[in-house]
Amino acid sequence: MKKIVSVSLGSTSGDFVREIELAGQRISLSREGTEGDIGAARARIVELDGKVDAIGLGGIDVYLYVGGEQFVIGDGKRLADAALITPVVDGSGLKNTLERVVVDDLFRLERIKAGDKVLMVSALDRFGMAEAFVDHGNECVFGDLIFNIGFDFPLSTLKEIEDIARKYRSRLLTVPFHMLYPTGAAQEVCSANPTYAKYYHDADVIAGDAHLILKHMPERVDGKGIVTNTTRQNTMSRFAEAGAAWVMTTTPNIDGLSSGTNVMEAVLVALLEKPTSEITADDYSTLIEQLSWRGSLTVF
Amino acid sequence: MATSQEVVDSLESFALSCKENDRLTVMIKDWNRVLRVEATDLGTVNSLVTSGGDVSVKDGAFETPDLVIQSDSDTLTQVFYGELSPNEPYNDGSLRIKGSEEDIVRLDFVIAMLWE
Repeated sequence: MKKIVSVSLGSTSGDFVREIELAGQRISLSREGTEGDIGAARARIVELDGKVDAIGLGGIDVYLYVGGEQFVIGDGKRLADAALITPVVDGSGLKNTLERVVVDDLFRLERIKAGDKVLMVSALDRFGMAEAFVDHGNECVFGDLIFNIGFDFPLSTLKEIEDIARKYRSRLLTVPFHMLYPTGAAQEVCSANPTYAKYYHDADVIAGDAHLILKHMPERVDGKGIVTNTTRQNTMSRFAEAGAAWVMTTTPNIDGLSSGTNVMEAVLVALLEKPTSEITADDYSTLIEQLSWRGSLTVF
Repeated sequence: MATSQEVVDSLESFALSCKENDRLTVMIKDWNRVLRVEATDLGTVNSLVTSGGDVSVKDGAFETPDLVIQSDSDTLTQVFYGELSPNEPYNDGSLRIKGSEEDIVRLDFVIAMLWE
């Protein structure tokens, strides 16, 4: 049996252990939150190294891909480097593939149309999805500066995101990750700023990281579509209670769970049985097709 | 060691660069803060005040600063002239910043947008 563990900086409330069957193989999938404790996450990765088939790194990115360039998150890279034998993946290798397909699917399903207004709470970590919305003719607001930095300055073009990523490149290596993105218990805290509610209200679709969406979400998002991943039952309930019309997850629903892209990428790496340095985007795309992985749409 | 005037000049240069950057002025329009800058080797204190997108330098200290930035005069002048990323001295402990993490991230972001 293949064994995959996702070590996450998120809270333990999202932990799970599952056994699934894919491509004729039994796979043990588990997720272990570390409540934002980077030291504990590192220690767990060292402990798992060589004992499992792949490790997913959740609640933190190792790489961002923006405008064809790779940007390294220092804290994430140091965690990934803690494993010397077992491949460690953060999901960034998948985001470009899965999340573009999901946007295409939403257009095919006529859930979104050109001209719809999209709020992406952050685009630096999902540039592929941002490009897909722009390519489809959506009017986008990218909230990286609003929701990650705290400046009420919406970005509206991909070029602005690329420009900011380049200027901020050296900081990504050194700024403690928890200062840019909620980890551990901070993920559960809702800190909706009334000033920023207008961006949610103006949008037809709200997309991006589920923790960030929920952290800043106003009480009501009536009739809006949500495009995200890592949904749990309580996440879906919160969207439904706030009046959202539908939720599209970018990762497939397995046993009622839409896991993080890091978990899905770890599954693919384990199934491919190739060194990660030799895995190409085409390998991922082919296997995703074989597995018929698609995002999962829930209409309320 | 820089002189107290050189520290003030670096702060003035930083403030001017902020004012001349139209995009940054809009970004920080709601970030109204008092930043106290202490040159530890000179024993001098200056303040940077951000208000409505404007950044200005004031002599002396305000009673309740939002951020306190402490370092030697050379490091401070290099950081505010954009010759040195604050990350390096911050990480080795020679630049200390006290205040909320949110404001530390914002100040670092402003410096990155100006000088990187």
